[in-house]
Amino acid sequence: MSGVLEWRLHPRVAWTPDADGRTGAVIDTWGAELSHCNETAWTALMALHDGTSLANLVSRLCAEYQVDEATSRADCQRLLQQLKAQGWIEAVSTESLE
Amino acid sequence: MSRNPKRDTAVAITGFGGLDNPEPGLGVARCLRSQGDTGIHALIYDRLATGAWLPGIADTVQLLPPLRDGDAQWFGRLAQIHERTGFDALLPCLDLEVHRVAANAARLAELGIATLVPTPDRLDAVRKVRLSAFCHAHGIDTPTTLHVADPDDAPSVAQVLGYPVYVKGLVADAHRANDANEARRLAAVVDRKWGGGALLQRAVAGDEYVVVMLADEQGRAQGSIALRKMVRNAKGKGVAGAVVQDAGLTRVAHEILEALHWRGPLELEFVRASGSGRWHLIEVNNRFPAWIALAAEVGCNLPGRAVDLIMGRKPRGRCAVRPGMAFVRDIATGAVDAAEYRGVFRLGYAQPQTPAKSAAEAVTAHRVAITGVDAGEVLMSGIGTAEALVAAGQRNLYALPYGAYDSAAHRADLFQAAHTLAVSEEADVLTTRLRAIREITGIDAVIPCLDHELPRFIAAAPALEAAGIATLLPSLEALMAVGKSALATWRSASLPTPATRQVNSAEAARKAGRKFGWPLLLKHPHAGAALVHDSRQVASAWASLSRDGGETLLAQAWIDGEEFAVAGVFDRHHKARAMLAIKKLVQCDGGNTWGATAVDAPKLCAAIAERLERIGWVGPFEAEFRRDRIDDRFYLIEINPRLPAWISYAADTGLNLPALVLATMFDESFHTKPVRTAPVFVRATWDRPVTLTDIAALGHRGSLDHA
Repeated sequence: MSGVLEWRLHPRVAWTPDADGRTGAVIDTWGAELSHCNETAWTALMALHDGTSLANLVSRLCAEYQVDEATSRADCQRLLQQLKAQGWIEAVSTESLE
Repeated sequence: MSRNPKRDTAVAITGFGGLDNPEPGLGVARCLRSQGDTGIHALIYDRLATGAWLPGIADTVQLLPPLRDGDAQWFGRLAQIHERTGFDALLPCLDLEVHRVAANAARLAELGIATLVPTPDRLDAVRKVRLSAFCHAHGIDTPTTLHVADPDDAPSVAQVLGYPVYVKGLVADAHRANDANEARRLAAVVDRKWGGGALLQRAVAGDEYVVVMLADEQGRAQGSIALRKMVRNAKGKGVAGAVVQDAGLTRVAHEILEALHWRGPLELEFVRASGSGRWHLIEVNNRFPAWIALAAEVGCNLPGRAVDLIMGRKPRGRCAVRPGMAFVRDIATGAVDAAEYRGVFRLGYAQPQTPAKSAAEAVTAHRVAITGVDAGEVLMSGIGTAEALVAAGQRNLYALPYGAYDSAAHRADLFQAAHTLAVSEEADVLTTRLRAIREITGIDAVIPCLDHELPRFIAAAPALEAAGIATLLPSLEALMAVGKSALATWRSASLPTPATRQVNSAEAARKAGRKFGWPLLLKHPHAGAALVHDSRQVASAWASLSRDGGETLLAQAWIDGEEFAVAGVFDRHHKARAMLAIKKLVQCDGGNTWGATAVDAPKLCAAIAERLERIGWVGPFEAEFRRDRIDDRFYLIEINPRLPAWISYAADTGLNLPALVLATMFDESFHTKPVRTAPVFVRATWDRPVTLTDIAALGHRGSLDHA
């Protein structure tokens, strides 16, 4: 069995979608900070809400936005580091039965 | 007057001043009411305590003598009230009272009145003049604060600190000064009010936070809530705030509490410095803050816990603050039985009664959009308009805020939803937006409630009509004819106006003052006014009013006397359909009405109706008057081309003018049924709980659904 590190939005993070559902506002309820997300950031945040690994996040963004894997990976790593520094995501290990 | 046997504990609370700079008493009472088992006796000093009269707040209202009359009078009266009502505990909510109660806690206990206040030496340690010393002794960051005994010295001290500075009274109040004129003027204001000069405090750049805490008899923390100020109004007062969870802020607040050896409620005000992120303590308040009502909504009812501690009980529940909650500063209104209201000033006590409302007449349902739905900066009339329409049975109302923090946009009791408008001068932008809103909501009418937007709505009216959205508006010519500048040229024996002249410089304003006398009213042609008491104050008032770029102001002779208003509705044939005259009983410094009573003024109504008919008026209006104290003559001060902010009162008098506006728009019949004895109108600041998610939805999506 091997463990896969997943990341999930911390409960301190709330959000509300815009009318089109493709973007939205995200709220850090601990710091009372309100921000608006573009499409890419919104897609990433919704994936993190469900819980996702770095690899899955990279794949998803590659598929949705037609970017190459290297670019997507760099962007996703940067995003996860930023969100982790803000306390917006927490690591959740999952066991894989493979 | 016997105790309500259903209540476990009865508490006397002070601080119900509910004007635009609210005192904490109403918030404390709301927290206790939310628990359901506490009797509440509101202790008031004067008519400014409008919060005490709101429905469902106080079981009784009791009159106290002014603090300046001395201990003997104050405690004597308190003992009388205690004997009559048998209240168990006293929660003082004004800074000066806390000092007095602390000095006499044992005496109160002998009377059977329990309290939870710090010892006098602890209170002295954090008096505003001593705060710097306390912080220095305990290694707490605090901005440089200097005392001036003479307000004329304020500019030179402020120069040393650098602008902006905060000018603070020795007991309470804080104002932001951006230049020397403001520093001198504000120092004089606080010195007049509190004595002892003024404190000038360097402004630290950063976000403002506050922490409210409760300490037990042993000084241990029994709960705390930290709040970030999200929006401040032009006076620097926080009008929206959100709960935060910050380990650093919590730690420093608890360190301060421990150093203070405190008992009872406490509010700590901080600025988090932008660069360093360090917490600077800027103020310590010895009572609950005005925004304390939020405590009951976020899982940490500190006033409730305070009463438990006072009564020797273990505080109920845990204090587990729910993040994501915020408040916006709104208003609440009430109608009080006139006999009871008079009674408190004659007999010293009253039991607030809300007169029964007559059943609303069946009306044709409309879907109405309303602007002017904020109370945080300027008290807007859309709120009262909506309240009156709801009272008339209209259920499908839609708020049109200009910002996410517009307070009443969050009110599900008034509106089905809120849809933002853009700040724009273009009529077609407005039309496009309202058409889009109609697609979503089906609105068939719009009532604009802000002066500055009327020209745009008037220009858009034909297109709105074509789109199925009705309005009831004057022509642009009629609108211009009632403007402040036009009014200055009115010559009418039945409707005299005070002597007025246009002034294009501060020196010209001083000349007007020498001619008309002091005080002098300086007015911006569109919005804003300042009462200037002498020539030295002219420069500061001029700078403040002409900041918008207007170079010409109006200087008007001040009429000393009581203020009245007449509101009414004109139909499309320029005929007055109905009018309501009031006498203003309570006003704030900004001139807004916080208490009023309907009066019979047929000559005044006839005079204004005749004049507006000649102008060709259509739609709602408010005319404001002053009655000269010496010769009893009424002078017309201003005409507002829309419903007034106090208009919810119209529903209580049986003359529901907002409902009449709607009926007139659609040529429907509507019967006004004036009540035989009009109640007294009261209004108080009311902090409304909202979620950050709702604020984000309104701000980013532009809409918020309450249904």
